[in-house]
Amino acid sequence: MRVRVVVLLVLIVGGLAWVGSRALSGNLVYYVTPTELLEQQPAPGERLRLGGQVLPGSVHDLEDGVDFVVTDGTTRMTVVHRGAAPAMFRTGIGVVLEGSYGADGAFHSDTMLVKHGEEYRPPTDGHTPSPVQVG
Amino acid sequence: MIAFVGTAALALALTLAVYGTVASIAGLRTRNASLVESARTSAYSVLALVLVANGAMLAGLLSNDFSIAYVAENSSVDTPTFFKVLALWSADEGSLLLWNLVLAGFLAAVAFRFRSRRPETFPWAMAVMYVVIGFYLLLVLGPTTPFATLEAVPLDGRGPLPLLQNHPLMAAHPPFLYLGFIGFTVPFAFAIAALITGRVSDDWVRTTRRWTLAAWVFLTVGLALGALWSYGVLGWGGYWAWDPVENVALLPWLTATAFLHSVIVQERRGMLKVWNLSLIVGTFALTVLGTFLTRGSILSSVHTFAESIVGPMYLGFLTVVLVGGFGLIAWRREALRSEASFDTPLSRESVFLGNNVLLLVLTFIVLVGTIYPLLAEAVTGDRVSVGGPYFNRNTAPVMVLVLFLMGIGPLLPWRAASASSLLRRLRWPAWIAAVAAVALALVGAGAVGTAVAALAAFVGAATISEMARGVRAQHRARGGSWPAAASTAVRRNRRLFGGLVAHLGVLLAVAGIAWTALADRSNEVTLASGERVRVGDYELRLDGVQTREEAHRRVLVARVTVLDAADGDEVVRLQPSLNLYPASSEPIGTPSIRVGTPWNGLRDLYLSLVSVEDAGPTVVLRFFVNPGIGLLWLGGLVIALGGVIAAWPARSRAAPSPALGSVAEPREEVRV
Repeated sequence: MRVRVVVLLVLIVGGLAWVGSRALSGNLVYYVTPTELLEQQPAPGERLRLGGQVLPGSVHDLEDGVDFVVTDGTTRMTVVHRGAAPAMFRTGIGVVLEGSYGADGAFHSDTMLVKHGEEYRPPTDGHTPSPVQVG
Repeated sequence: MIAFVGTAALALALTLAVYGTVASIAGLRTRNASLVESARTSAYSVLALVLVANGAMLAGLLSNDFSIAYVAENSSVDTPTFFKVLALWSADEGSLLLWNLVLAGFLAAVAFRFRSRRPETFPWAMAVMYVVIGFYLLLVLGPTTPFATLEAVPLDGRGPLPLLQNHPLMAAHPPFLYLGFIGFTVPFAFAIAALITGRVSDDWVRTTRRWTLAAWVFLTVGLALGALWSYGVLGWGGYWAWDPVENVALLPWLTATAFLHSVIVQERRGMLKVWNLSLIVGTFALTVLGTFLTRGSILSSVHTFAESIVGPMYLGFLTVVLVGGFGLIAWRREALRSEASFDTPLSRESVFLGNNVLLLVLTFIVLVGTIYPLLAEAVTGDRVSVGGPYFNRNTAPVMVLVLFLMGIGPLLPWRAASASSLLRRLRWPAWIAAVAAVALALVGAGAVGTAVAALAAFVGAATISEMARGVRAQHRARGGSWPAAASTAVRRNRRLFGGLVAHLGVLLAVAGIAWTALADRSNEVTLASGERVRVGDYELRLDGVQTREEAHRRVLVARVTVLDAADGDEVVRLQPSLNLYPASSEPIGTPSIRVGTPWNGLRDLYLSLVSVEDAGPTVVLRFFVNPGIGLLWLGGLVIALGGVIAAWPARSRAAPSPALGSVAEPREEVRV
């Protein structure tokens, strides 16, 4: 009896894990943060993916795209994106960009994914009033 | 002063919660009725104290008391009063205050509901609820500090996040979600109480049936309002982005929906007891996970997790819930033996179980996609994003199966059905589905659209024919007029008819989702003043751009006329706008929507303003034609209506059975 239950559980869990991994594969997008990118020092022209949140107030329309700053809360990096931005693109949202790190210190991308799941509030550095203990 | 009152009230409430826990258990152990009674009445005091804390924050917001950090960060002098009130739950700390208020409300409601007649598990259920509220009160008394004060008091606050003060739906959406989330604490508490006391008969299911249904209705409405908010505010033409914040609200809804069905099997046949207990523990755990994940920073990076004690506290609580809940179930497994077994795969209970499994598969798919990026970053350090296509591709086929079983389930009798009687009942729905398929193929809908429509027609016809069968049986048995027979049939079988109505709602919602998804068209256009551009079947003309100054923001309005491209007739005038808030350098848009009606093919015309160039002036617009999306909102409403019908108390004809109070249920069906 107990053996059968254990076997059943193992089968169910194994089946779910298999289905899950199959479903996920091909749908995962790996990326690095601006901080990690600077640590890696990629070769010019090397294709990689950069993820971060769009810094409020940094978005400018270009003739053939858009430029803005992404941040991971510690490091900021200018992004020059060629091509149309997705409909969900807006300030404060998380994005994953595909392209290369240029010698000009900016990230040049040609593919943009809007990364769901960032909170609506972007990281604010130096903005938060420091609370003191309740009196 | 306000900060002191608020914190003191919360601290007192926590003290009372601890007392309530101890007194409930001690009273039960020592058979001291007055001790249990005092634990029960403490619930009212907890509610009063949490009300005081929420009132204190509200007073701070309304009186612009910027010495409170939360007020300074989430309100400002110019914020309209309405949005000052909303600021109470528009950020982390405040929303936890509201969470505590709703939880205290449920606690007091349970204390009131069972004031005289009560099941024997009641003291343990109270104790469990006190532990839960104790945890959430602890969270606002140190790990987060809603009433933290500022040494240097600013002259003005930052104001609420622009995105959150842009739409009045922000007033209704979070409270409904909270009512739904927190409502599941009640069935969870009674389930745990049943496990602890060993009284694992079906009493806990009957006692909490209405509470579960109420929570489920609130959650349904909350989800629908959330989608509506997203649609009306974010300006990207959609309503659901598989954002983790959205997913975590969907997860408990899926498991709760499964639970609502499988408890019927337990009530009717005494089966699935372990399954039901597991579902309610799982549902409650998912609500805890949901609040944990939406608590700001965790979603942007796992590394923020360790920076505060809040994350570990949530994880600890979640572990206690899961290990405790499933441990108790394992401990009581002997008493949870099934009283019957499945006779044939072709029976209502089998279809219920099948749908349950499918709903759990949906839950699993959404859960994996939601937390995989967090787990991957925590374990391997890899940063990963799971895209919307993963969710769409994997949930859609399962959803189709769910729909199909939803259609045939109610047509099947309990225990065993004969295939021939099922086929006979399915004859009409099958014909209607065939007609619908042919009609759609003739109109030129694609293969997927035709298949979805045929399935929807099949399920809809099956559902309506089942309703008609009940009414006909009533009419044959009692005579009288048809409307009278219909109303009697519904009153006699509230649960069945409520369920069928909810099924029709699901059908409407799915039809809306599929229609919009299949027909989704969007275009980005740049327009100068007076210029006309053709977009699909329509033409857009920019009539001008205006600036409006409001107290708390500046509004840029683009006046656009939408024309019919074929005959040049004016269809509608839309005025999408960009709102500039002083606290934010980036404008927030407000899309303008022509709501679809049956007279215009249910087409929503959705226009959002992306940017305005001064020269010209020139505007960049996004134009979406969304047909059928109104069916989604209607569907949400109908689902909730079905839940209300099913939960509506029967007029007491017979005296309530003394053991359970008035929870005796009407028979579910009339079988003639």
